[in-house]
This record gives sequence, C-alpha cells and structure tokens, in this order.
Amino acid sequence: MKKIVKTLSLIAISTLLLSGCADKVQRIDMNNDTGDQVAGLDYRDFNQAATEATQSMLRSPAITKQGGGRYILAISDIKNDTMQHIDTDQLVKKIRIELLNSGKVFVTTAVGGAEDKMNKQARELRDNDEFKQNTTIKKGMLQAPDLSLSGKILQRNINMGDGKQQIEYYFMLTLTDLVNGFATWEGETVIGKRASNKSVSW
Amino acid sequence: MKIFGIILAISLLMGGCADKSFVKVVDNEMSDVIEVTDVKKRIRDDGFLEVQILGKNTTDEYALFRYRITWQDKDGFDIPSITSKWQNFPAHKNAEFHINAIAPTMQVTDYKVYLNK
Repeated sequence: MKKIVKTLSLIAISTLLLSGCADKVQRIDMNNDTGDQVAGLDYRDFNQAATEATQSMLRSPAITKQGGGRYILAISDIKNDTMQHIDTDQLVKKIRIELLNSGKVFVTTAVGGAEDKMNKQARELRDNDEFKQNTTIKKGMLQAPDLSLSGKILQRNINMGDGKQQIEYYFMLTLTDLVNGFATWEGETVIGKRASNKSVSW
Repeated sequence: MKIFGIILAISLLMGGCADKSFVKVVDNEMSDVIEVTDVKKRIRDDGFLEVQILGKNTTDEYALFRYRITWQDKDGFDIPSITSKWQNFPAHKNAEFHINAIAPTMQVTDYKVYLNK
C-alpha cells in the first residue's frame, strides 16, 4: 500500500512540474531582444523601417518649412500588400510620433487615414439646443494639410528549392506636397528573410 | 604669459567638461574588431544636431554590430527617440564604416552613442 501511495505521489508531482513548465510564458525584453528571427514581420522589422524612414525625412528639406513653423501632414493610404494580417499603423504610428516630436509637422486627424470622427461629430453640435452654443467650435477652424504620407508594405515569397524560401518585405513610403502634387521625399526599406517552407509568413 | 597659458588650459578643460557627448564600445570583444576613428557633429541649417561616427573594421571578416543613441537637452534630460533602440550596422572587412544620425528635436545638445555586438 505504501508503495502505491509513493508511486502515485511521484506521478502527481511530475505532472504538476511538467504542466508548470508547459505553461511558462516569457516576456520579451524589447530593449535588448536578441531572440531568433521569425518568418513574418515582427516589431523589430517595423522599428527598423520606421527609424530609417524618419531619419531620412528629418535629413530631407521636405519637412522643413521655410521661414519656420510646422507643416500639416495628412496620413493617406498605407496599403498592406503582404500575406499577413498586419495593421499598417504598426509602422505609421512610430513615424507619426517621431515626426510630431521633432517639431516640424502637425499630423491632422481631420482628413485621411488617421481620421478622428470626433472632428465632425463635435461640429454637429452646432444648432443643438442641448449644448451651450458658445462652447461649440466655430466654422473655418480646421486646417487643410500641406503634405501627405502614402505608401505600401509589399511581400514577395521566392522558392529556393531544398524546402527553403526567401521572403522579401518592402516598406515603400512617399511624401507628397499637396500644393503641386510633387513627391518631395521617398523612402524604401527592404528586409529579407530565409526560412524553411514550413515557416509561415502570413 | 604663464598665467595666460594656465587660464587657457583651464578654459579648455572646462569647455571639455561641458560637452557630455561620447561614443562608447560597450562590449570588449568588439574592441578587437572595430575601432572608432573620428566623431563629427554639426548643427544643421534647421537647428538640428547631426552626428557622424567614423570607424574601421580591422579584421578580415565582415561583421554585423548594433548601436543606439540617446539624446539629451541642455539640462541633461533624455529626449525619447526611436533611434534610442538598438539598430544594426554593417562593418565590412578591412573597411571603414560610418554611422549617421540626426537628433530627434532641435532641443538636443548632447548625445551618447553605444556600440554593441
């Protein structure tokens, strides 16, 4: 009997220990992540693309307003042309933060891809008797954009044979001067990965 | 004359202390592979600080390293930037490399560059 109890106890302890290991979750140290690469796009790829784009934009005269002041930047279409379900805001948000903090641009949320519907809803409160009319927004206060940021993230998968594939990601961005329609800045970051065909990149 | 010399030396020392910028190799193994040969900085026409670090890979092997830059304002406070995260840079064998970076805001007066493997 003693032997059975001992064996059962050992099995119970082993099960508990094993289940403990299986459920262990590790948090990524995003400040110093030396973990293995993944076939899909991860935050490190977005960081790289956003850093290269913002450094290039800050170096370019395209976002420096002559005579001082800030340009108004609208976010246009940033297409996800990859096989992955990604939100292009993973790229755009980083660029917006860096550009806004630079003091060179304001990003408008009145029009474009970064639109905040509250801009319109707040204006619909005019003529609404429930609201003090002197607290509603006057007409003609919104500012039209000077610049527009557009682009796409493109993916190409190339079969290399031997069960391997090459995955190429292209981050392509264009800054357009809305006065004349000229593309005043363009940037491209290419990230390449090689992995087994079994690796999923979507 | 001697007094002038002493005053000049003190002024230079004090001036040197005022600049808190530096480039630091944080991994000893890296010191055997690359050396930093020059650091240039300038204030651009738009008032932004620009830094260029010039170095050399002294070995017969290509190497990929990482760097990050922290930026400080005149009071020594850190100014957050996407460039403060580790980024890769290539050092081709027996060749020079340079890292160019532009400060995230006009308020930046100093920088700290860390090179890592």
